[in-house]
Amino acid sequence: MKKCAVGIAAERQVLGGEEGEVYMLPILVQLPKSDVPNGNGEGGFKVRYDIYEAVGCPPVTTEDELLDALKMMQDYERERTGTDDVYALHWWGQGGTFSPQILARMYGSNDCLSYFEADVETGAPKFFLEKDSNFMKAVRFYNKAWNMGLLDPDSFTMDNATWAEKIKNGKVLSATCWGDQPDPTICGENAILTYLPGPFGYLPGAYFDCAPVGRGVDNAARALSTNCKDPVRAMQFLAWLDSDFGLRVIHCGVPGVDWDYVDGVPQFIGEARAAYEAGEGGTYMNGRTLRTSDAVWYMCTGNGVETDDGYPVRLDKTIEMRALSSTPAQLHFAHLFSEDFFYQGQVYDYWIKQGLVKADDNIKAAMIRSFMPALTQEMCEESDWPCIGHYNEMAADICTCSVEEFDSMVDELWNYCVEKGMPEIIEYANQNYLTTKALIEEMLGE
Amino acid sequence: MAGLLMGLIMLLTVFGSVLAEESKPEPITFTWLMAEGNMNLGDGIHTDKVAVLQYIKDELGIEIDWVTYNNDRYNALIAAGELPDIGSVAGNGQQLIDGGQLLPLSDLLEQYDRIS
Repeated sequence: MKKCAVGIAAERQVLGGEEGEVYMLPILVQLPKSDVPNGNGEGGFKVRYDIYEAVGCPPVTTEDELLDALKMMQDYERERTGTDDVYALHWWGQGGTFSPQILARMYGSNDCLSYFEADVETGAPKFFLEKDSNFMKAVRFYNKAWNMGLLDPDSFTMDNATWAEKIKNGKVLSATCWGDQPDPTICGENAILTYLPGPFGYLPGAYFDCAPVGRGVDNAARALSTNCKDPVRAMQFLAWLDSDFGLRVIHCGVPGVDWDYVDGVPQFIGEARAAYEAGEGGTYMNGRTLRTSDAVWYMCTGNGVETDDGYPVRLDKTIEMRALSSTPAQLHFAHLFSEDFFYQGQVYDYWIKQGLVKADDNIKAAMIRSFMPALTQEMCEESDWPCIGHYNEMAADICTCSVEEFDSMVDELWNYCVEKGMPEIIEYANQNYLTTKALIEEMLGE
Repeated sequence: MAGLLMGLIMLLTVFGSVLAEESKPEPITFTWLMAEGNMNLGDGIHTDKVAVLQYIKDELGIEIDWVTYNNDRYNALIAAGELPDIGSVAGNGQQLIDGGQLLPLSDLLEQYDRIS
């Protein structure tokens, strides 16, 4: 479990009591700095780069410039297709928190606690509905888009299947999403959703997500109960699951059948290789590994960890496999920046190294975020959840009000939060942040 | 001579099989606690339907019996002191530690892993 060393040390420091005991073992450890950028399925705000290219790649260093560019893209695509039901943006989750929550990551925050965001540079928490939160910046962005006629009016009523379908069939030209992509048979061979480097500041997940201590938002981790029938065997099993070999088995399938070392290089073989080359690797692995179930994320450390052989745990993430399985759209996009690139992650890495945008890779902030004590059930039931419920009721109205009315709507929302006692809970979270920060700094010897 | 050779081969084959069986670890089934929302498979995860779980069973002698929970089930398991062998538990674990329901792992880590 050397991959969890930082996480285990943090467990001793934060939960270990005076003896520094370890009770919880990390899961999903990921470290952002990697020789192999991620960049196909990261969660954030993406635009149809092929349409952006078609309108001449106008500069987008500010939000307003981005909205102007999106307007050009919408006009272009409506004229090209002769339709008026193409929109620049839509909203995931029937008007709920999802889309602004994901867009907030581009401004430099990540989820923590219950409906709080944490600054990616400091780990400091902020409630979603505080007026200066990144979440509310994102809502304001959507409000501006609505007032420019760019936001799909179905956003507040459509189900998630319709949301995804609109991406596939080219009825929307941007999305807060993970791996969703337009269908090339409908939208054209070069159709692709990618990040843009300018307007927001951060590219979430351009490398692997920063999770050095191996705990999720719900603080999940592995433990052995005192009922465990064979603790030695169980610990040996957990150690095997976290070994390079065990991780490869869990993520890549049966050794000798799905993957193997060929000339010293770990790689897919046989039917698995053929499936990945055909762009059907994910489907093939259904039934071979646990990757199609979230269970895999709770059994062992993540796939964004260093291995002794230097190759990623997930063999579909190697440069070689990426090259073999790149789609024409990926190649077209990547070649706009270098003939040596062949997928989005290499372009994102290039933008970050050019200083055009930042990666969310502050390990200390991620450690603090992961160990912030949760809100109590009472806090959630009496304040936190009702406030978010109230926001959900108002979301469509806030998003579709005039730009002039927006601030008063936000004030109204915040006043409700005050009535529900959120300032005290925010203070509770801030005090916990300071305590947790001090513990982590002590552990790091700062 | 040929008969003797054949007999020797058969003897070696049987002996080899016995050795192979003896080197296989004792089969064991661990119960593993997992939030039901995290399973993401409608009818559960069955060893015979997932190749790597079958591989783990064959090679390590370990089978996993998933125990899923929602909030009520989680609280009931804790109240009854019936947590499964292994848990992917949510929350910071303090309640379970204070209640003596989690094993301290430092010694096990030191003995059976590469770091402590």
